[in-house]
Amino acid sequence: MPIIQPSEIDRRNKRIVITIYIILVLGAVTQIFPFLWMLSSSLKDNIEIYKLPPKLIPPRPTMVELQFDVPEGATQKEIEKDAVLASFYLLKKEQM
Amino acid sequence: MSRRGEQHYSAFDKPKWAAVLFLLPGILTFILFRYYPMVKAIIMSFYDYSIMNPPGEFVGFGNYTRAFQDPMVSLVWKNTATIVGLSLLGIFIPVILAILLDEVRGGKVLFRTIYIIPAIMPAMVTIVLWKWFYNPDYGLLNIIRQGLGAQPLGWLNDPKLAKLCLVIPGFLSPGYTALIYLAALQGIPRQMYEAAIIDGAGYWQKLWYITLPRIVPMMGIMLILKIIGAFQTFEAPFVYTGGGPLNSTKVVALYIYEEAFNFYRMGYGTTMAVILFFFLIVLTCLQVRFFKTDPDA
Repeated sequence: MPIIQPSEIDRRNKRIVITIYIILVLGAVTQIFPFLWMLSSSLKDNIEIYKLPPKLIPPRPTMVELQFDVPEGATQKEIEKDAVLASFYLLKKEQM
Repeated sequence: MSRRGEQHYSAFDKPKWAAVLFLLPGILTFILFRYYPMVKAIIMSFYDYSIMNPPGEFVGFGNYTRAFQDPMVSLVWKNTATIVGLSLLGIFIPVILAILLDEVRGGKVLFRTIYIIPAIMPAMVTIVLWKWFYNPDYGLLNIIRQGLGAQPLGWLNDPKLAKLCLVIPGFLSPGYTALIYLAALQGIPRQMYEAAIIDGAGYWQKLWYITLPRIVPMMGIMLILKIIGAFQTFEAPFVYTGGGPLNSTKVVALYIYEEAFNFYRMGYGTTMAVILFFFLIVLTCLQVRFFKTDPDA
């Protein structure tokens, strides 16, 4: 049961209630912030996660990360072709 | 009080065999998975246990005398006691939180959800997240400190700070314990408050003379559980620091794990586990004796 009963919400008790709300809202920040941080970290790629200063909202949210395994000395065209193929495979996988 | 046709059950009745049969799987698994390992551990602690050729050589109390002379054992017990002491600093946080949450009328569900979410998260998630915060190079805490113009700290890499760092995340997730206190608060009859209002009691008087005495028994129980849990801490030091820096966070459970599963000294490991077990039994008996757990006593 709440300590302050509904029948006795006068001016003095109202002040206590407002203080309680303020403390709880401040405390809620400490509870939610780690959660949000986890969420934002999950949307960063391996480079962005080490960036200083860290941002809560990543400028370029990443959900899929592709890695290209191209031979040394590959031309721009070959790399682009690999990239297109990789994204095409991913698309096909999504369609299945 | 009894009418004819109703059955009576008392402790002195003949056992009902059907009931015994239904209970049997539960009892058997409990004995097999709880009591058998316990007894086995006590037996193992008297051997220089060898995994390849169990049970190895019988050494009597050799493991125990060794444990009492091992300088590392006294260090890990000191570390554990410090961590227990530090984590006891936070036992009032859930009480305060529960009292505050109980007072909320508008947005009751919202506030309770917010504070319970960290309790739902797996402990490992919280630990990994905080390990990231503590990182001296790119952790959030040092970035904030630098932003405020303060020197960056080593956090988990600092032997003086490491123990405190292990405990702080626990202070910041009081949700689970607060939930239990909240249940205790809800069990306080409304008439007591109403009578207090008629007697002219204000907020603080009601808090001090009605609310707190009513949840003190619960606090006693939670304190016992907290101390047992703190003496058995394992995953936090294991994941955060692995016992370092300079063995400053090596606790009893971690030392047992290392001896038993890294160095395969099963006998020595179980010896320390048995010592911890009997220590906790004695400690808990003392605590139960000191704290009254009956609210109307």
